[in-house]
Amino acid sequence: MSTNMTTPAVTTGTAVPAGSAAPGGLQQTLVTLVRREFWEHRALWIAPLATAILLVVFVLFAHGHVHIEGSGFGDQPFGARQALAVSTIAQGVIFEALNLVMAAVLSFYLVDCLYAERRDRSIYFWKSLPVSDGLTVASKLLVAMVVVPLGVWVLAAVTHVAISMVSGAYSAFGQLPQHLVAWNTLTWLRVEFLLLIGVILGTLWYAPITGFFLLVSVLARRNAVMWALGIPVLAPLLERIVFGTHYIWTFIIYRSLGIWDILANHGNLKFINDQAARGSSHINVPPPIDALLGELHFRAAFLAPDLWLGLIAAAAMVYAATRIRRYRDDT
Amino acid sequence: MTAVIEARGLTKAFGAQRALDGVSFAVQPGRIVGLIGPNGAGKTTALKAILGLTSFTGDLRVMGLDPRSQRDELMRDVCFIADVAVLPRWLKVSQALEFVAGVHPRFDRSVAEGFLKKTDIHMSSRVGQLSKGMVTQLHLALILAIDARLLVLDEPTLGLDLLYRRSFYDTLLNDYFDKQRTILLTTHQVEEVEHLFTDIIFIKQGHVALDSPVEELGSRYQQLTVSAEQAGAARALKPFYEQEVFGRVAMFFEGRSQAELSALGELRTPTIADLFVAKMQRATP
Repeated sequence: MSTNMTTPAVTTGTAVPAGSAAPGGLQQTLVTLVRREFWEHRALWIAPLATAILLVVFVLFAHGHVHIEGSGFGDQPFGARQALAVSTIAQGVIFEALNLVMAAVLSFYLVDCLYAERRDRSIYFWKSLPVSDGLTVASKLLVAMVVVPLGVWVLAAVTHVAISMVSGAYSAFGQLPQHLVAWNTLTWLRVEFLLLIGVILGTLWYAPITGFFLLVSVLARRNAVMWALGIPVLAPLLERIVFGTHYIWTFIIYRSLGIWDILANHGNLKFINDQAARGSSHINVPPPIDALLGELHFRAAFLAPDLWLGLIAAAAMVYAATRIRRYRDDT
Repeated sequence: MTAVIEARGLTKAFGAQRALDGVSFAVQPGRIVGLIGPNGAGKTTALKAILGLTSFTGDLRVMGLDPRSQRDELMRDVCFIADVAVLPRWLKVSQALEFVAGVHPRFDRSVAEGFLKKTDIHMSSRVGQLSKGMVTQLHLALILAIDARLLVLDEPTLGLDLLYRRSFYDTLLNDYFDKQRTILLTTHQVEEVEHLFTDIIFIKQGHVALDSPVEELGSRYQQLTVSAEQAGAARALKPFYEQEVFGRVAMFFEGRSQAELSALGELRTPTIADLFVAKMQRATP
């Protein structure tokens, strides 16, 4: 008997004791909660995936209709370097396109996620299960701040590889001039790394917007989307009419783009200045990836006080949303 | 035995109006308790307080826990169906099973699947495609597969036809209920479920109007039917409610002995439905 007491591995396989969760409880609960979000909000995965497929299909059928003239890249003739530049631009454009779709889908998701459950009264079903309000809100944050942004980053990478393979195949079969297609794995990885940093930085910088949408979602009695869009549109307008100032608008613009400005050192990057000094009228597009990775102000961006103030504000709004979901009584 | 639910001085006010005004009652384990009252009497508010869904003042313990501060722990031992329409329309039947299995440590998926096999519900259907009765069956299947100690049902069969209502309560009684479990049920359709209850609590304008085990109703309440000539004599014994039926008068008494009343007319134990009407029609004390 005494040996059994020191070996917790000996289990009898009987019912779970009162008050304790199943083995692996928290992790399993979180995974289930996150999956639930994708069941309800199918646009979260359908919209980016459909966009990616459209992009690949577009390239599949667009070949032969695209004419790239050498003049587009300054006086240099179109060579391997320019072809790689085109490929890198495509890599960035695909990422941006999917991120725009994601921003729209995530905004709608965040505004809806704590509102829909009250609208269809399913909140009583969710609340009849042993899932705390904190865990519920955490699962929605996990979807909006981790799962979807990382998923879209992977999807963008896969899409770019697929498109590169399509143009590579066209080129191999002589459908596309050889010199238009280039691939460099190291460059590709460096760009992906840069984009990943962008994903993380963007997610942190936009956290107050995430928090604001969650708060609207938990507060709105009806028309949650109208509140979420109406406040940032009407508040600056009202300020303009009543006070003749535009502080709110300036603030909104800053919270939308400010971090990228900090990252790019307010446009004051060495290689751009160097090129300007050389008097070249055609700045390299895109800037060489090594130069970008070397000169972007990552440290300044991640340590920016406004980034951290925003995160504190976001945490406060998320906490408020959790408390309101816990204690709100709509009867 | 310690009570599953113990409420003392439960009070909840919406502005100046008091939905619950110092309500006290206790629910013992292994009982099926009917919480019965007209609309707006405070039934749903009382259930919400028990489930930690609303704020209140007073003392309330559910299985020894305070629903206000220990709600997350409480929900492992408590199940509830708040209304028939709470399963979201987008949810697939298979997803409902998967979800509850993923978050509830005491959910036995095979029990729920076994129950669903007896119905016309398909795993691939969405809740929005099911009839109201089927949604209730699905919800019941989920609840029955959870090994909970307290089941709270708030008008679970509202809007269902008779066949679904019957099968709902039959399943509840035959497949679910045992002496380890406690069921607290509110309903409008008292006549249909009165055979189910072991205890009844009448609630009226935020007060408890009656709280009794069903087996004690006979010794506490009497319904006497007298002819018009005997009415005066019977009235002297102070019925708390009377009602004229086909020229005779039915009178309801509380705490009178059988010997006192049987000489005056036809004596019987009132049904819960009759008792409910009598208690509710009477002016508030």
